[in-house]
Amino acid sequence: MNDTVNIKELNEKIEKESAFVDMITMEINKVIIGQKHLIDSLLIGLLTDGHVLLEGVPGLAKTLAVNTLATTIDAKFSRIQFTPDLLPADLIGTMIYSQKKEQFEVKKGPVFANFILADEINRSPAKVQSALLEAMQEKQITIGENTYKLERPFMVLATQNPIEQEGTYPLPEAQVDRFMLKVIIDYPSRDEEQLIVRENIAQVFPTAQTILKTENILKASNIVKEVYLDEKIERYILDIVFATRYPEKHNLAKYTNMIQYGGSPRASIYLAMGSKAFAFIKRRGYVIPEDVRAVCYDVMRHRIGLTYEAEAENITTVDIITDILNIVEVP
Amino acid sequence: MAAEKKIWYEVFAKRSSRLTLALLLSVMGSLSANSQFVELRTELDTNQILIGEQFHLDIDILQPAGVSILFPLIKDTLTGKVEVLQVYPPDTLKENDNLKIHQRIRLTSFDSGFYEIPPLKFYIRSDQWEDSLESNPIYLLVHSVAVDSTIYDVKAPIHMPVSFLEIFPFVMGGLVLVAAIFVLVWYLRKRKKKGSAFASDRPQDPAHVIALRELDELKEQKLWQRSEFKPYYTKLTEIIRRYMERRYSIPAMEMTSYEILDAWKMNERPEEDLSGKLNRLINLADLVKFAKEKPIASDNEENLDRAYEFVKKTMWVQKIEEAEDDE
Repeated sequence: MNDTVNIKELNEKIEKESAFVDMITMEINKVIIGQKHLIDSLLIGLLTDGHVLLEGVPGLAKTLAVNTLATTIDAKFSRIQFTPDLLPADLIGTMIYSQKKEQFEVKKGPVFANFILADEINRSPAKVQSALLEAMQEKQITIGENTYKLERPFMVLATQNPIEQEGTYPLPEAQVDRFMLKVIIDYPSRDEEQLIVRENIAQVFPTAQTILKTENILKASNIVKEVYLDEKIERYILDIVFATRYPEKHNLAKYTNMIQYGGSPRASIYLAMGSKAFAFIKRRGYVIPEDVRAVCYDVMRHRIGLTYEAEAENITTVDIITDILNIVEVP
Repeated sequence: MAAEKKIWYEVFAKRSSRLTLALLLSVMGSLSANSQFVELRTELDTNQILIGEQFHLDIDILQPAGVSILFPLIKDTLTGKVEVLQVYPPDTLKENDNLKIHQRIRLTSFDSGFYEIPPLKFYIRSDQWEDSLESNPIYLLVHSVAVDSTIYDVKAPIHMPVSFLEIFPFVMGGLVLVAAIFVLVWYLRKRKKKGSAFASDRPQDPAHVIALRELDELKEQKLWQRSEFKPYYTKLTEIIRRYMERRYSIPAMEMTSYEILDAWKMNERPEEDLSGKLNRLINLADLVKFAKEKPIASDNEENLDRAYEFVKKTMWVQKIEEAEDDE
């Protein structure tokens, strides 16, 4: 740990630099009613260069939220509607022969942007979904013999319908693991839905304004990295992740046969980064256990593989995470 | 049982029907001085057999040394129903000037009935003459097996003696079971001595006594005085959290600061002042533990006092006394 870190100075710096968080939130709230957790999750992804997978039944404003976030930032934005007949070249681009120049030229695909909205990503087969793997992890695209670095910030925001729905393909584990957060979108509350109904009847749809530049995001991202993460919190994060791998060592032997595989090292990394970003959003220069808990479900839920036995018992990853959080000692 | 034939020869003389009596008489007369004999004896070891039973036909020939005997060719059967199983090689034994030849044939029959084994024809040859000799026919009765029409019950299983190897797993299993029962009884008795086997590990001392004792120990350790702020606040909050676990059965060790405060408020409905003090203590402890905060001396003393006050104002004993006072 860096003992020279001055938390007070950091707090002041964060107080100053995190002002845009309120501005973005306000702009998004103009368009999206409710969905506070969704907005926080999008901000966490934005601040940590992490990709976000949004899952929910149709009509819960997943696409609208991502569109609105992209609108508030002056950056290149691509929306790709995933369909069953989409091809990898439709995403990343391809080599096209130019008769004029008598040579092949690179035609870059829509993935060359700052924000990618992969809408209904699970409507395409795995080969198309996998085309995003290199872009998401390496932040680069290889077309033919050439590799192109993607501009920062680069963020994939994917939406998907629950896999039980007809005509959907489950995302491969390697692909899912690359998403920092998997956010489950729930229905709005009664009051929120009443407001939605009123706006739609009145045909009054506020629009968000562009208020930020990509430089602001990159600067904030660098400050998020400075947020102090104490060794105690690090151990707490590792306890949580290791409990998903070896539940029997954490008094959760009942899950030994329920968990096929636990969280990967990405889980620990993203849990730490997500906690830092959450602390930043809360205007704090240090991480507390509450921050870890706040992002834990979104970071872990898609990184725990369940066995058939668990599915037969109707055990979900959320049940497992809840039990782990209830049994792992908080520092 | 046996068919025996003795043939007396004069030179060129024989009993064959094919030779004329005249020729016979003339030959006998001229060679009477060299009269010799060949003795043939055929014999079955039994005349009655069960169907399929094996038996033997023994052929014994006694002949002069200068005579050669040509044995009949034995095929698969002697008659249609008597089958030849094996023809043993002849055994020759010299007896004075004679040769004694013995041959054995193994036979059987698979059809019941009365059979005649036809005469066997042997050819005799010397330098001056040759003749043939036939054995007598032999009769054989083949019995069939009597059919028993009585219906018998199914035979009971045969009880074989049990080997040690077979009962070994059961013996071992029994021993393990007895050992397991013994260990279980021993364990339960041991637990009974300590208390109920299902009793919780709740200490004998009340929660506040333990907490106050631990606070005293922390005070004596003088951790913050040695600038060990982090261990000091870690221990201080642990004492409070363990006290809450024992006092309110709140899983405080697995809860975050805000969760602890919420859970406590739901259980206790505390006075505003006490709640505020606990809040300040926990917040400062979080800062020290997670944000390298180095509180001033007065804060450290004040927070220890807050911890004492919190325990004393929420301890179980006081509640009972208050209830008695109300009555």
